[in-house]
Amino acid sequence: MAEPKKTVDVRALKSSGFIRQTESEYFVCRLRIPGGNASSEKLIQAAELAKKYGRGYCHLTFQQSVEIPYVKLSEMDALKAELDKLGLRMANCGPRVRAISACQGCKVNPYGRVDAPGIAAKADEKYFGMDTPAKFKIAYSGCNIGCPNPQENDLGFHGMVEPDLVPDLCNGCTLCVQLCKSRAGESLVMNTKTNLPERDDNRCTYCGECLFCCPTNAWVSKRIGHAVYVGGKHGRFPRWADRVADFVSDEDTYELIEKCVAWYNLNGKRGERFGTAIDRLGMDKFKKDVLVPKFKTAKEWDHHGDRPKGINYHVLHSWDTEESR
Amino acid sequence: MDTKGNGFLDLRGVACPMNWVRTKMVLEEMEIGQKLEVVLDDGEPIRNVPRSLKDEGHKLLKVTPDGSCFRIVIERG
Ligand code: HEM
Ligand code: SF4
Ligand code: SF4
Ligand code: SF4
Repeated sequence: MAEPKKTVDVRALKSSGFIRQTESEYFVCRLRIPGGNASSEKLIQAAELAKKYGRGYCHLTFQQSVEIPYVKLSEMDALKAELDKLGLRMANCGPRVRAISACQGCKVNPYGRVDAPGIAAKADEKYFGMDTPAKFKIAYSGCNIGCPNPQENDLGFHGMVEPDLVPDLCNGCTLCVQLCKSRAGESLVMNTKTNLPERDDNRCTYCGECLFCCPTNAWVSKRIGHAVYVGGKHGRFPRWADRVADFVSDEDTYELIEKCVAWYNLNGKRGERFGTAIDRLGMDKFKKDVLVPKFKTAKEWDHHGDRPKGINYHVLHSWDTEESR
Repeated sequence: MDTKGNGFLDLRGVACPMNWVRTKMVLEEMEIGQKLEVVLDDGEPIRNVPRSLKDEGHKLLKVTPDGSCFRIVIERG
């Protein structure tokens, strides 16, 4: 006798983190790893569960989740109960805010300017799973090298720092000038009269290389914050995100997530990605509704005269230029 | 800069961290205040060696680009 057929609400399962496989009697169990950091204990537990309920392997997703493939429909409830007991949380799928991703950030990576995984984990606690018209991906990057692809997420951030010179501490070695020239913004030149480096705001990418490399600590950080990108996505019709604000504080990135999600829910059509909605309604409207007057790019600040000149963000790195290829 | 009577080390083609190990070995044989000129490749070497110098209390006096490498002058600290 065949078992009575269980009906499955695949859509509801998706929001809980179970995703039906091609082999339709199996489901993938997607675990939530906010900011890309998971304790050793939790990883071992996940691996054990993959042995018990799956086929003894885990898949690491591009969006930093750990998946247990090949979970049988009949065993999903038992697996869920074990996960709950262990405090392992499931990620999600479908039209909602996805688990927020991040790189290693400043605590591990010498390039990092902000604690990307720490901030991402906090944001994840607040906003994970909020319903949106289509999927909504958020990424925090430690610096403008941008390993977590902030420009290809619906909302992306990368750390940035404005360096300021303390002339008395500088011995004129020129290291910062050389490094800025060979790998950063080509914004520093040595003033031959003063024997001090001078920074051109128009070219500076706010990468912080000068600050990091200086042997005498003559550069200090005047401001640290996040650059903000909206509307990015990859896929069949990729859209490169628009940079809409600079030097946003950690706390204000949360405010921006809230505002963007609210705007998207109010204005986006079902199934339409954030960037597509912005294109349909116009960047001006988006800016007026969400950003004005608090959030601006360094360039836009200039026009109001209360900031030094802005930045040339077409050339983020010397290795991004035609010349270096 | 006058580096006569002091050290010279050509570390072109020597990768991190061996370039730093060799620099350190030479510096350790020197007197405080003596100078050492080192040639380093662009990329990781010019980024890493000065950082190690800083950590160990030596002084970086000058960096001069020379083709695809850099000449740096260090004062033993
Ligand atoms: C403690 C040292 C370091 C750690 C822990 C570290 C870690 C990382 C991590 C986690 C990524 C992201 C990879 C990914 O998820 O795709 C990354 C990317 C990258 N790292 Fe590092 N890194 C370190 C040092 C360095 C150094 C010294 C350099 C070069 C000077 C460097 C250059 C890069 C670059 C260019 C990328 C981007 C790669 C890409 O675009 O695909 N990293 N690093
Ligand atoms: S984005 Fe910057 S801080 Fe983050 S991993 Fe890449 S290089 Fe490191
Ligand atoms: S690296 Fe530091 S000491 Fe050397 S020129 Fe730059 S600011 Fe001055
Ligand atoms: S922050 Fe980066 S781009 Fe700006 S001056 Fe320093 S090294 Fe150059």
